[in-house]
Amino acid sequence: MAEASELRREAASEPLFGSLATFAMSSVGSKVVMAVTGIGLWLFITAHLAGNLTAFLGREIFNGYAAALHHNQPLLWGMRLALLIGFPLHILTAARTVALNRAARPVEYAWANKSPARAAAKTMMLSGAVVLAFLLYHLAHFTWRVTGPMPAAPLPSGDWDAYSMLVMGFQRPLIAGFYVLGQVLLAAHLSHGLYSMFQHLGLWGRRWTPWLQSAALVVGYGLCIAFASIPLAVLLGIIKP
Amino acid sequence: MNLDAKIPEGPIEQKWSKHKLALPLVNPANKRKHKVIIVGTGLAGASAAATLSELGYQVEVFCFQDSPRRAHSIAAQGGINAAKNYQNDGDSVRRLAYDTVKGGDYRSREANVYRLAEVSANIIDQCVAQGVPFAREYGGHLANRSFGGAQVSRTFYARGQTGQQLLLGAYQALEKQVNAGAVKMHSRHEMLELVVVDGHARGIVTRDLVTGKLEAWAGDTVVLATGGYGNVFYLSTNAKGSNVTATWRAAKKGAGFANPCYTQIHPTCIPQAGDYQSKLTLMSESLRNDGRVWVPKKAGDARKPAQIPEEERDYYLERKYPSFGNLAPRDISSRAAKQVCDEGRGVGPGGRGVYLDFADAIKRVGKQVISERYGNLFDMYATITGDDPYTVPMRIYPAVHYTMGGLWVDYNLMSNLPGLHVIGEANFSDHGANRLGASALMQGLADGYFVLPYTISAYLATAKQPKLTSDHPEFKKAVDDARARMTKLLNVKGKRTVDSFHRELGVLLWNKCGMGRTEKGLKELLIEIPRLREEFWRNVNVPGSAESLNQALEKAGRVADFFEFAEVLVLDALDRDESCGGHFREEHEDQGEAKRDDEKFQHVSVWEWKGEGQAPVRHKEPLVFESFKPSIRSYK
Amino acid sequence: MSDKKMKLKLHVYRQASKDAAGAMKEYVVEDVSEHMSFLEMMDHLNEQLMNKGEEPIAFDHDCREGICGMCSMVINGIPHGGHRGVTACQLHMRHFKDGDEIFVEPWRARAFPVLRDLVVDRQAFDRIVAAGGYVSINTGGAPDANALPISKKEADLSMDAAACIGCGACVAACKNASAMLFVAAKASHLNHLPQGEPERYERVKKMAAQMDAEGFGTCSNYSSCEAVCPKEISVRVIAEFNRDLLKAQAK
Ligand SMILES: Cc1cc2nc3c(=O)[nH]c(=O)nc-3n(C[C@H](O)[C@H](O)[C@H](O)COP(=O)(O)OP(=O)(O)OC[C@H]3O[C@@H](n4cnc5c(N)ncnc54)[C@H](O)[C@@H]3O)c2cc1C
Ligand code: FES
Repeated sequence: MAEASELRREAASEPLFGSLATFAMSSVGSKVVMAVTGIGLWLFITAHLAGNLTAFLGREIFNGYAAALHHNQPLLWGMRLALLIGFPLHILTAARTVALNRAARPVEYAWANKSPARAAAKTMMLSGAVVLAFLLYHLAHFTWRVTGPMPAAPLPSGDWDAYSMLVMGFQRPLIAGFYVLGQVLLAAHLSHGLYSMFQHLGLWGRRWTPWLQSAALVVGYGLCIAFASIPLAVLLGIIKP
Repeated sequence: MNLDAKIPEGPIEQKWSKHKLALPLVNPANKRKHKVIIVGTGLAGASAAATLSELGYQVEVFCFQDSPRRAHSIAAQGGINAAKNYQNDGDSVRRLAYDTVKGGDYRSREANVYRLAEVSANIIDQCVAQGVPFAREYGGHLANRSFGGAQVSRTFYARGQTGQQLLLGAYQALEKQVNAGAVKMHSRHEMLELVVVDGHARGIVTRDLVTGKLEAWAGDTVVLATGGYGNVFYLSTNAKGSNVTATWRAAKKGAGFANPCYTQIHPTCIPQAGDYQSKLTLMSESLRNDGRVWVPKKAGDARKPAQIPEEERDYYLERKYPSFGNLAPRDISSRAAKQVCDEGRGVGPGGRGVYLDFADAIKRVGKQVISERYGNLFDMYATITGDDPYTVPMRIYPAVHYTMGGLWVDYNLMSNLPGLHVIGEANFSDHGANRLGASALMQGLADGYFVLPYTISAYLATAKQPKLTSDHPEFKKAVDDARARMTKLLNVKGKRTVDSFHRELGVLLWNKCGMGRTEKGLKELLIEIPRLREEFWRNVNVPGSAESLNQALEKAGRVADFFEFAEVLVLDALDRDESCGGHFREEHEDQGEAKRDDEKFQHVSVWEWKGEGQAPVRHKEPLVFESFKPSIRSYK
Repeated sequence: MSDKKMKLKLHVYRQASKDAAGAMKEYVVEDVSEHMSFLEMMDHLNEQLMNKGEEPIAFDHDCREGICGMCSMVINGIPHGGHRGVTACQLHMRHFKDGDEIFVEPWRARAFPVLRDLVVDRQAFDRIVAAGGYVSINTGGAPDANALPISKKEADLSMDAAACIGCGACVAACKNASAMLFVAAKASHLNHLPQGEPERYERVKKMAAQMDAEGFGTCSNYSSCEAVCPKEISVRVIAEFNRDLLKAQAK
């Protein structure tokens, strides 16, 4: 039909990076950023946990692992770089979406919004913020060594005695308690995040998605128990100085 | 009043194709110079708006809801007919046309009906191409079911949401054109006046329902697709906002109102629960495919349904109409329900209800299958009544549902007022005195997609009216009239709410002009309605102002129009001294069946408004049946 | 049928016009029948208000049978009142008891400004559909409806999404006022059909862009939307939408 009104079509082909950046800033795209960085951080945490658990195998092995990690510069810096990009992206994007979401609901309900949603889902920002605080403390403790009890001097090899640092720290109930709390909130964060990232990346299956929430719960709290077992073991004297 | 139907010459099978060839065309370059004003975004309005704008016309569309997608067509549950013969059960264009003419009790214009049946197949094609998710068989082909008044399976459906899915198809097509800048959509705008200049319909006056602003809109032609007037009865299955205002305003400007007394009472609705009831809910007619209708044989039998043994039940539809059984047409089933209730055999509160029982069907095919077929309807019933229809039979009762009457139109869908086109339920339509199930959706889309887009050019190419804008004095006057009416309503400051008047009007009409009508009752109404109307104008309480969102004022305007219109409806019912289809004059019956009088009444009655305080005048368009010879309509 | 009469205390949001300030107001309604629908109870209250010379509470409604999507009120903190698969107009008073206190508020979202009392402006939804929620086909020339078989499974998935009535409860329920369930349902309806396939990726891109432009929030997978959706549309559609949008980035 000659006179049929033509639909307005946008001019084709934006430059790839421009369009990816636009996407990353969009509401769906920013969630993809959260999901992808979230997966990275989760993998990192899992690897970190595996290392930590060597504490149960005794001072030698734990310190050996710490030293090996320290001396493998490419791995260490690779990881650091990934974290230096992943964390800020995860956090900044989160902050941006929270701002967006607040703006999207300028007036709250007089009667609290009772629409059902899981607590872990509704408190992602809170659990995320506490986990961040915990992380900074953890860095200060083990990486920057500016807080927490320290052995008097490094080992003859020049490395710090990570095992002693760990035991000395966790022998203080307050520090151990803070670590455990950090883990619980991390677990809550993961229990929603791990489920959520499948959604954000468009992975849905009629048969497995219903299991996903439970799986995320198991993985999140499993990590938490595994992590928390270390300070608890120290407190209970299972891991000995 | 000029009532030339402009039916093309020739055999019925060729009329439409010949006519299409003979229609003058509007040059493509000229199309964009014509502005078409469309009121209504139901199936008829939305499909016409999308199609006309695709053709290149400038289109301006109005609806009173907050979105065009919410037009009342959305509520249709059961399905849409089309002569596709996918089931190989002997369906054809001719059979669909025949069923429709017979179903309408030989009170429709056969040429229009034939055309409707002809384009019905295109509708299904178009809708599927738009992405309407009709029900399908496992093999991937379209599924069908049967509906009242037909012995073939020609009804297409989308779960219990056929209307919504078809409307979404049309709405999406409309939004596509909005996006292309080719349609201007005005939602929350109510049409309050039709503007006529030099004898031609040239525009409308609307009220912005949010700000209260009155505005005039000028164009080259006006299309009304404003639906039916069932709400004149207050209680009906129509959406609350459905009204007669648009068509009535047009009638007051000279458009003939045809067959207002043809109202359809649907047999399967949830019975009224109390005086506060604001509307009645339809249970789709498709339920009658598997449900069996019965009442106790004994009057006043107060036992629970399960306690009434088989031999003490009267499956009265199966008994009276063995060949159609529970699938007897609507008017017949409704009347039969009324009869058994009048005999004191009705069930439920007030004895106004009959059972629709699925026990046998569940035994036959299992609960699973029944729930697949009707799950959402059963849920809806349970939500409203609190009863579980899987275990307790449903209680149903007839309710006002559809109006076959409407503005008179010729074969080109133009009213006697040049430039005023009327489509969908708003016109006097192709359904005669009774509409068969699943054919209103068909008609709305046929008018909008496949008929009006051709026939509108018959007017636009030949009318040669000067261009004008809404600064023309007629527009100013129409705005002033609308304002004056609102001011008058606001200034009454009486004691009774609008709803209380509307409810009372509804009860009057339902009792004396509902399923059974008598000369005596109708004559009483002609005294009672004006009396109530007079009280309305003296004692109605419309709070608030005209310059804001004021729902009481919106209602008041609609009810004021219902009052005037109701009287014409009753006049028509009185004038039509025969029974046909949904119009049942108790004086004319044969063993409970409607008795037509073809000699005297084989015509369309068209009412002309003569002004306040003057009796409207009835004109006639004789109906000629060349292809479908009138016979006694039997479903036995 | 028994008929218990109830007396209720209502807290209803009142706002005179789009730009006016609003507040919750308290009302007592008597003689409420348990067979009334929630909207009939509101009608009843309005009659009482008008008989006292006050202005009635404005609220949107039309079909009153759960299909037009017009009714829209948050009842005690939950859009449509929290009964599965039920809109406010279908909610019956038998779910309440004598003496109950009920809070009635409008949908709350920046993209849905309040026009008066409980009436909000939802045209944002129309604009999202206009951005791409259709198959670009003009009237005429469609092939025979049975020319292209569509598996029952796909047709059913499409229909599950197409059941959306566009009421906006998903937005109202979401802590972020996100419109993802609505937008994704529209896309899923069309994307599951071969007719919708050619424009699939363009469609999701355009609808998502318009959704953002309207000022809706982001989806955090709370699934509150699914819980309140009167047509029980699954968040599956959101995952599908995300996937299509991701794929669209590569196209
Ligand atoms: C509950 C129910 C179920 C039904 N089921 C079926 C079925 O299964 N099959 C079938 O074939 N038919 C069915 N019908 C009948 C069918 O739905 C209608 O006849 C048909 O949809 C009417 O369509 P329409 O486009 O003419 O008008 P409507 O859909 O009623 O649209 C009217 C439009 O006009 C607008 N409007 C009205 N007045 C004004 C005004 N004054 N100013 C501005 N705008 C105005 C409205 O906003 C609306 O957009 C059913 C009807 C009901 C009530
Ligand atoms: S009024 Fe139509 S869905 Fe509630």
